Amino acid sequence: MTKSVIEEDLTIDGNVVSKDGDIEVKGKVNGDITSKSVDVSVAGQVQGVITAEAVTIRGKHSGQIACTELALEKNAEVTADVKAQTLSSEKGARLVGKVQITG
Amino acid sequence: MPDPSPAPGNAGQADFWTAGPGVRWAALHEALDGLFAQATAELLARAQPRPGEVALDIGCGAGDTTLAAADRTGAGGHVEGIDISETLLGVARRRAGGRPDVSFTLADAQTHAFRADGADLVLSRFGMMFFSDPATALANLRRALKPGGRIVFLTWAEVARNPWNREAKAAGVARLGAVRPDAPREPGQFAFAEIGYVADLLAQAGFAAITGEEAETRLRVPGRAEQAAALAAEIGPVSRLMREKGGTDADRHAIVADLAGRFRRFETAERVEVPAVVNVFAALRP
Repeated sequence: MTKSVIEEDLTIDGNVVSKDGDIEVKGKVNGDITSKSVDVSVAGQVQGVITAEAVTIRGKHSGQIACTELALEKNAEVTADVKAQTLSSEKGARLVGKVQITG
Repeated sequence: MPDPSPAPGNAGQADFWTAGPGVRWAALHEALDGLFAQATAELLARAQPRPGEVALDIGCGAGDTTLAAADRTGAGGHVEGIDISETLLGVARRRAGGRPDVSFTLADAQTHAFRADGADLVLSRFGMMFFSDPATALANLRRALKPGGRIVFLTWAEVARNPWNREAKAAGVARLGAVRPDAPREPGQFAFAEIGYVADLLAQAGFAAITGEEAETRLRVPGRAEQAAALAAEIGPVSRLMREKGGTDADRHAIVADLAGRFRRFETAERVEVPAVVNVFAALRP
């Protein structure tokens, strides 16, 4: 399936949808992201609602996350209300907000 | 017969809470329960112990939360306080005065053979962050719950957002020098500061319907900043610094004076109210 990369020098003000694709955010998104998977890289920043099956955060996110599998890696800085079926959180990941793990 | 000896990784915690620092906590239990009164109310509001329920209070210390929970479970219910320190349990038993709806057990909750499927509720006020193997401890507590039973506990959010501890450490370090910083997730006061980490541990331990969120509270000490500083200097990071650096009475006085200055901004007309951020976790045994 297609993978779309929002590169480091790209800022998107608005919503991003890739129904069955994968989105990697190296730049900035000020809006909601809906996709099959979302990967926010170390330099990436997202402000908005992320809805996906799999979400990996290595960079910064604020807003909400609704997903099946959430992985927070060591540099993650998340200020969000989170709803996920599973969550893994590496040492050093920061998460401020309400977490619901539905299992 | 239950085995009260701690798991090997928790022996240091047992010594800590039974000897010096534990003795100080026992002596100061009234002031500390007052300090945490709002957090206790928050815990009970979330846990909602109901009449007739059986509850386990993990890391019950001097029994404040055990007795408060038992007031809600009533004569038809029971609350068992579990702690690793006989020093603190001695105070708890004295306070309980032989009331039949509470009991206290010297045990390491990480490995203690709780009655399987026995409890409606496991609760804890700041007693969950000290396990050497928290995943094993949480799984052990899950087995102690009835199916559908719930676990509700409070832990501290990160130290940067908790000035009671942050300022005490800053005052102590200013006088005595730095100590090795605690590694993230290392057993201790801030081991469960990361909500995602603890939610993950609860999931690994087999819990369902897991929630973790922050709550703002206040730590209250009657009187002026000097009284709050004196209390803060008895426990936590100042206590550790004094031990590790061989601090003297003069050092303690200097630290308390510095800390009083830092706490001044939290004075109200009747007391000192230091804002604090705690994490509240709740989950169910499937």
